[in-house]
Amino acid sequence: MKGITALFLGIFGTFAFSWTGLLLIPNYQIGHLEPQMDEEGNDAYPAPKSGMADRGRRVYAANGCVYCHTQQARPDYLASDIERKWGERRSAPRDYLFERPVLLGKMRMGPDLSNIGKRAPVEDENAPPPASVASPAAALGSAPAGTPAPSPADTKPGAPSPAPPAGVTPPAAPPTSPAPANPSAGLGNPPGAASPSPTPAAGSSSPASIAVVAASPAATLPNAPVTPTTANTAATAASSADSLTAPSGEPIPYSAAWHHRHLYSPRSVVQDSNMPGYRFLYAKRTIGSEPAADALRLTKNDTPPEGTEIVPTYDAKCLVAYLMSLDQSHALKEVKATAPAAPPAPGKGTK
Amino acid sequence: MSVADLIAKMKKFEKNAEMIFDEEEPIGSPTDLVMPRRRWFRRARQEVVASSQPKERGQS
Amino acid sequence: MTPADIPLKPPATPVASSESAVTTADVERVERALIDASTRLPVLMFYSSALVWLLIGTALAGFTSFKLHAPDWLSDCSFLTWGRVRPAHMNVMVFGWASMAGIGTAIWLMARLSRTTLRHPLLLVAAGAFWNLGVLLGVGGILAGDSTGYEWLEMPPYAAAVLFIAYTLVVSWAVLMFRFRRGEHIYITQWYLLGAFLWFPWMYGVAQIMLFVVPVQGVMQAAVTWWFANNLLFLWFGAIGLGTAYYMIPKVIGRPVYSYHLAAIGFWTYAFFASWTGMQRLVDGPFPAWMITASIAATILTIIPVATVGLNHHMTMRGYFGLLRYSPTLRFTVFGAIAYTVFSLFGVLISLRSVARFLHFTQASVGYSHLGLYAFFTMVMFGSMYYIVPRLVGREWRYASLIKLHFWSSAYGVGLMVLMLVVGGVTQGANMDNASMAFSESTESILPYLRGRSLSGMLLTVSHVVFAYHFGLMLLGLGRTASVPTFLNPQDEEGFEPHS
Repeated sequence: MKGITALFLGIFGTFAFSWTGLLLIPNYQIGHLEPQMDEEGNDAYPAPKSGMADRGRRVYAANGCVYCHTQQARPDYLASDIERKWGERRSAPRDYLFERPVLLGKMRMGPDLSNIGKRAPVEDENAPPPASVASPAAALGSAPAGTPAPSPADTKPGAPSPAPPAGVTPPAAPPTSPAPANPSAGLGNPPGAASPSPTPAAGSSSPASIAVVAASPAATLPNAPVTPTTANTAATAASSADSLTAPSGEPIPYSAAWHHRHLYSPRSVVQDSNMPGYRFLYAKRTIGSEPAADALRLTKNDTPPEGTEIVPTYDAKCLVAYLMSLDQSHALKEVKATAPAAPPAPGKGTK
Repeated sequence: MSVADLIAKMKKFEKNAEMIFDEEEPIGSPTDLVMPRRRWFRRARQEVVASSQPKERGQS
Repeated sequence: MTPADIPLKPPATPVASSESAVTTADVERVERALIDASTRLPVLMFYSSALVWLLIGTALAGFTSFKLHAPDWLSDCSFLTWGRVRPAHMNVMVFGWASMAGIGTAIWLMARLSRTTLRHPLLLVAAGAFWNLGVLLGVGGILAGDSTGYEWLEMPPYAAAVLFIAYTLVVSWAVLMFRFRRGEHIYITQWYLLGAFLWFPWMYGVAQIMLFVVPVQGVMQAAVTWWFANNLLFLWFGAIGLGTAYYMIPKVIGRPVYSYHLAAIGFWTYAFFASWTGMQRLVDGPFPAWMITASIAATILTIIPVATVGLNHHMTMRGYFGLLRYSPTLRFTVFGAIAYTVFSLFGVLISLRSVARFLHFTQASVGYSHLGLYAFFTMVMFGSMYYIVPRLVGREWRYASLIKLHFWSSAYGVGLMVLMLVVGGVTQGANMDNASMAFSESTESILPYLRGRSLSGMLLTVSHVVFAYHFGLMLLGLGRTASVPTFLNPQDEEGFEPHS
């Protein structure tokens, strides 16, 4: 039997070797990271996702979004992810601290989503970060690279910036349905949303409060929509909803309304998309006394029959909340924004 | 262990390759030749030759 | 080599031949027949289940492929959404078809090589039943929305547990068989099979523990997932496939493996390097670079075992390539062995950072997976089934034309699929890397190739339906009656006509 002992030991040994090398040792290195904090112990990044966004992650995983979308930005010297404005810096292990399951992805039939929440229009990031300047606009202004604009060949949508300031409604709009004065009181505000990080709470509170405005459907959006920049600074007011639609009436790319419309009917916002629609995440119901705040504004063949409207289910809202929370733009000490070299640090993310 | 022992050991080790054969299916005797009459590309000609033979039941 | 050169021997006549008493050959034949008969129930059960899953998985593959270029087709139903159908297809193929076919073949090989009749067949029957249940629960769970979100491990925990029970039954049986083997020699196939049967529960158990029981943090989850996925591919499927090829090729030809030492070196280097390749799927990802580099290096080093295996098979077959005309087993197995080399070299190529820049995140990786799981593993399994099934049901395969149809539609099907996905992937990747092009152009550019892939899928569907039908005939006892009792011999009762 001594032949088999050697065989057995060899089989076990080779296995143990790879387990030790690829799992055990890296787990010591990057498996026990903590959020990064500044000297006062504030501005912890990353933060765990709030209730709706967390559930949204489950919806994302259950519906296999990971099989077409990645959530990892590669370094600029190795790939063109940063050039495509999918992130301001490469992704690092610390970015995924609280993700479960981690949804890095391995296929890009659709764009990378690691910073899709960051690329949303400003109104959705309206919870002022405690340690930094109050205005979300300033925060946005300090990160101009958040605008995805990969192609000069792309036609831009009607309105990157000229969305009207708070309080102005586009003409011919019916009174916007009970868009709550305080976005944080909107539907779907998760309890405990006030986390130190700027994005999670904001993302989850606004989707439901965006009223889609009736206006004539105009231009179809281009393939790579552009986020508005810093114009919409007075974002805290109620009519955040209004300023999130371009003058043409189309939802601004990567806003919550845009996500809902995109999930319901991808080809109505991105013409060449081959993404399937997720209509089972939406419900059709008859319009009550007035249209629901979060009813989708749809065009052409998607328009529901007279007297009915399409509203997102709770899962849809959670999914969009999750998407709006995806933001890796916060700087990390171990990741240089542009230079390749990095000081060795726990969880070193660069070469 | 001497070199001769080592060589003997190695030869014995090589013998393992022969364990899948036995007297009934010895070395040199192919097994599993399913379609001995089948040639992939010369069917037409083959049919003429083979038609003089009684066809096996079920062979298509 | 003409058929006339194939050394012939007269079929062994039954025992009551005039002079001598029972010869050793007769004893061996009866023994072998007994061994084969003892494996009949479990092996046929695993094979039948595997083929049912193959058909289901092929249907799911059709959905997956078509929906990529016709996304609105049947998209309103939650359990038919692409994002659920795709992992369902993969899990059905990996755990339903491939694993069960692999176990079936391994059972027969273990019994033959242990030279002992199969003990405790009910253990295996129970294992098969649990395995089927596990896959059913798992796939149902995925379609219902319970996917775990981890690639290659999407089956929800309730299904994974059932599968693990099934597995434990199988591995206990395998260890017992090995323990009670007869004869002093261990054959290389037994090394591979024993390895596979031990590695699988360890890798599966470790993955389940590190993801669900004592979960690791952050990106380590991805490291665990891809370590598992590559281990499954190499140390479970690769090991079973290689072990099977090492038995089938020499056995069909009637010639021992060219160099047994080379085979041993190939086994150990494979075991050592292949399990380190997992991170190749995460090139340039958020990990310490040393992990990725280690996997790339390991992938390159797997060229050593691949070369030894390729050399061994080639030298074993040298002078006998003509037999590919006559043996479906040889044909499928050699196709698989060649595909294994191609698969490995391609794996090295796509792991290199300079190439990964263009091919990572494209459909090329789907092509790579299919090269491994279909062009190599599935084809070797088909070959083994062509050899083993007649020995279990006591009949020959009935229709040579169906065998040919099966082979060519599989060969062209997978060849076309891999071609479409790799060429398409290159186009997709080049466009994706070029930041001056809109991202959607990269997706646009691969759509024609995806349509071509759907076409290849139709070929594969034909192939699988044909084989399942043919296998069904065998199960029903409708195979061709053999003119000789145990195995096929080119000399049949009409006498053997040399071809021109």
